Amino acid sequence: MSRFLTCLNAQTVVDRLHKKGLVDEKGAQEIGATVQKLSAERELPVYLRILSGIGAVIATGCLMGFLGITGVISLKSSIECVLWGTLFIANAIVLLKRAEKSGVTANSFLMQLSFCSMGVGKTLFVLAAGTADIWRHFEIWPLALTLAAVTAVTWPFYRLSIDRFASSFGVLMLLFAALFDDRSFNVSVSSLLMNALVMAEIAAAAVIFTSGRVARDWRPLGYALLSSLAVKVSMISFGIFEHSYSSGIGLSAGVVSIMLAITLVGLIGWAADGLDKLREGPLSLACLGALLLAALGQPGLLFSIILMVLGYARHDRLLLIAGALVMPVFIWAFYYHMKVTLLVKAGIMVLSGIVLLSGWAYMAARNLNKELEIC
Amino acid sequence: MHTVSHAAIPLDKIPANRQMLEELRARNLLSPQAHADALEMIHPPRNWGLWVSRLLLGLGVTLVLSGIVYFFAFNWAAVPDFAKFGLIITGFIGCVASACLVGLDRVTGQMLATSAGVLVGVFLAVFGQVYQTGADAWNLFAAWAVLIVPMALAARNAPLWAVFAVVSNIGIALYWDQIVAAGWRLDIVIFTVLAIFNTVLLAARELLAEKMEWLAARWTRGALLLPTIAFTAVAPFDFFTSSRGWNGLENDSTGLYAMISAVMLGGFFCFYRKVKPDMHALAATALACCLVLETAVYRFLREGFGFDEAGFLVLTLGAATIALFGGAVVWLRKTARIIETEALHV
Repeated sequence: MSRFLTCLNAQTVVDRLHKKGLVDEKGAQEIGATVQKLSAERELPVYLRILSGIGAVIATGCLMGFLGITGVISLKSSIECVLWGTLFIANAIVLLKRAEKSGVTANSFLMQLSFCSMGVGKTLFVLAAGTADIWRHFEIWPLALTLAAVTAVTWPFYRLSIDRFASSFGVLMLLFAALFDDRSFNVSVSSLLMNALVMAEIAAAAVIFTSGRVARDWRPLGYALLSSLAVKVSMISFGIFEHSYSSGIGLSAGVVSIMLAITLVGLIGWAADGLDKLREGPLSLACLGALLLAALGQPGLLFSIILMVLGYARHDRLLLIAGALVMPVFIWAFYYHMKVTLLVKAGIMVLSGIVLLSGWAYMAARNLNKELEIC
Repeated sequence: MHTVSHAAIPLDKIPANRQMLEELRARNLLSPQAHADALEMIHPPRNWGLWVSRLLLGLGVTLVLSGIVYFFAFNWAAVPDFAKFGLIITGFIGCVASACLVGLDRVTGQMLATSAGVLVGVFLAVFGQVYQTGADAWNLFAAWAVLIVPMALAARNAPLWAVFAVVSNIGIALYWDQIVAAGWRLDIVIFTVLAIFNTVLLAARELLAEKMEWLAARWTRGALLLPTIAFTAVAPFDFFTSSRGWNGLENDSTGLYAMISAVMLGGFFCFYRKVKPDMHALAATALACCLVLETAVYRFLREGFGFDEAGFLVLTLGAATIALFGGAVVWLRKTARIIETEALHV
């Protein structure tokens, strides 16, 4: 797989553009300076972020457990929770500032402590919001809105990508849970809002991942949006909403599939550098395939293809691997939930396999699958 | 986490990707023509074609094979036994012959060889259905694994070895469940056995990868290492979390399996640090060790030091978590730098 990810560097691209006369000497220097400026702040590798994130989440749980068990802070008092929450968040920001000026050892421990402190602070704020109602009747809206507000306020000061990702993901999941749980809405309004939330998430993710105008700082939000979409698509694919369909509440597989199919068509157009390119033969076929998948009402397959196309187009190994891993799961879910006999399922599988192999044969016959050495 | 500031990185060390082009375009540093040209440089349409065609081939073959498995699992009485065997054997011979014709070094040939390997299992399953051999399920998987080996050796094909690894793991687990200890009574032992078996496969992969290009793909290491680490971590987890006493009075060999696992994890650290440096493998091993040590700290606090007061127990556990995971991150960051430096000097 790695051979498909980028092997060109910025210098080579600038040199080639300069040689072709598409960029003059001054422009090349300006491009070089901009690229260096944008790349000056590098993130730690993903494996380190995952490792430290898991550690910080466990430590946050332990610290919250300590506060809850010992009663050092009364978790039933909104004021106490807000005060202590503010202190913990301030502490997290100070620790992060110190971490930035420290060597590797101190930096790693301080970042870990800082993230843990931020986790406790945000949890206390969420508890404060829920305290008023939590012991009488459970309301999710205040929790979602409070976490959203705290995340928005701390966003400019607190630049840990794992915190931004986790907090944004938490907000999105709480918003969805609030919509699902809220019985004050009319059933159809509730479903409409849920589908609108999915549409907004798709649109926001599309802007973050495809526009050059959006700063790299927003990428954790992009990953949170994709993760939130993955949860919703999984819920549809595994029939979680089937029981609630009787009451009319839930995401519509058809509507979400149409939204994802439109997204995939747009994504193919973006990857090909312009929607006008979609008129070309192979790309038209790809779009037709996306619409066919939408007709099957299977958002999981569309979503996994979107992840893979986006990952490949952006040279983003994480998205590419995620798409490849979830695809077999969604294929399995699709056939498992099909309400037909094993024999019919077998027939459908073989036929759909043959359709895909025909696509492969078409590409081979037209020599569309020959690799071009770019390095 | 987390951002780390660096001094200006040389341009030839910055990968050129789509994000970079979009950012330059948004700042009007690239004209539409330059943007289109640069895009074609990093993503030629022909390479997109190759990627899509491989996706179609992989998915298509998977679906057709799954359909065949489902079809024979249905055990359709209307199809005579002779026809069933005939279909599978024809499919098998067709796959093998086509793979030889196309060439085993091409992706298509590899897919055909893998399909032939899967059809061997289908044949054995149908054989069991038709002749009602009464054999346990582990027999099917064991025979399947044994029959794949010569094919995989001849085909020099990583996906076929992946099928072998999956089939043999299932075979071993079923053998344990059906013959050695019915009802998973010796679950820790089987996890250690699976860990050792997969470590042997991993060792073979590492040993041969330099000589055999088809085995050198990174995914082959990850696909073997991750389940191996997961199986290896089960015994120490059980040792630290089970309710057994540590007074030495109970005749229990859990400690022995935990020690075997500890030696194996140590081996992974040494190997992927000294012999074949790989930060991802080291991080996965470090994560498993941190989680195991976390349970160890909990157990020691509860039983070793008699921490009965729950509040201070969780607080100490939280501090230990920061120390463990923070320590692992520090070690990995320093190791990454050393490995980078070593790579520059080679």
